[in-house]
Amino acid sequence: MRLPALILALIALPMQGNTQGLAPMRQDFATYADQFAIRLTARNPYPTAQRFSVTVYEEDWRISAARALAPVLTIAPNETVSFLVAGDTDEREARAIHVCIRSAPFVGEGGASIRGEVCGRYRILQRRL
Amino acid sequence: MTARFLTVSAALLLLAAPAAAQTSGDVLFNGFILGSCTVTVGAAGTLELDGDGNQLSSQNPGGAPATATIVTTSIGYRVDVDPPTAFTLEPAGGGTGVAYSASYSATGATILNNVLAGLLSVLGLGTTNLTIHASADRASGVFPPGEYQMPVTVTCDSLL
Repeated sequence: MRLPALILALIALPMQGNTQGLAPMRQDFATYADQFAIRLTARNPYPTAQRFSVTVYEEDWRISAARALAPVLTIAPNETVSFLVAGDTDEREARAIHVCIRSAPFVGEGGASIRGEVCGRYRILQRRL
Repeated sequence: MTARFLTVSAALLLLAAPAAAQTSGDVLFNGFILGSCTVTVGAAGTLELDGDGNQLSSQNPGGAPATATIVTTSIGYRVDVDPPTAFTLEPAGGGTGVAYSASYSATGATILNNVLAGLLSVLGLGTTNLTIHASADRASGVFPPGEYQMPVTVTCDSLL
């Protein structure tokens, strides 16, 4: 007797901790309140602990009044940390913001220094009851 | 007689049907990869003074470019290299009359050759190896001795 057919659906949920500097990189968030808070995940891809600064910009890259609750993240090597960005909504139905995490400068000889930065784009959708 | 034949046929069909349905089975694996972009800085680069003493550049003899690796898991990302605008560390008078510039090239998933910093480039899907050159040019006189630091930022951001 043959066993009944077996269908397995193994759903891999988005793995936010494996390969990204910032996750998600773009997403819509809806809020019914006059404030919003979004949770993002930053990853340190380096083999040593690193400090990353978090900056929030408006769609036109002006510094936003919204801010990260922890503007500086210290992340262990190859680890992830989730952080919150919060702000007030306004009369706009949809508003985009950029959230950037920037590494501390890596300094070379002769004064050269380089920083890595990853910026995600998020839409805040104002819902009304 | 006809009714009895139909009954037997129906019973045989009922017995046969499950066996036919069980000849194969599907085992499904679903995966979902979140679109991502990772920037990893490699070497920080080396600035060297030229023979005239008025240019600090990674392209002078003894200098070396900075490197970075960008990995994207979906399309829709771009790279931006912010050129330096000032020394963040300099001796007195070190930044007077200085023009800053940078350029970048890429191999791998993205092919770019000497793009001026400040110009955005769309990234290909996969691993992009970036090399960045930077330079500070003094309009007149020579760079005074001391410690200098000139930052360049490599940014991956979303196109949409």
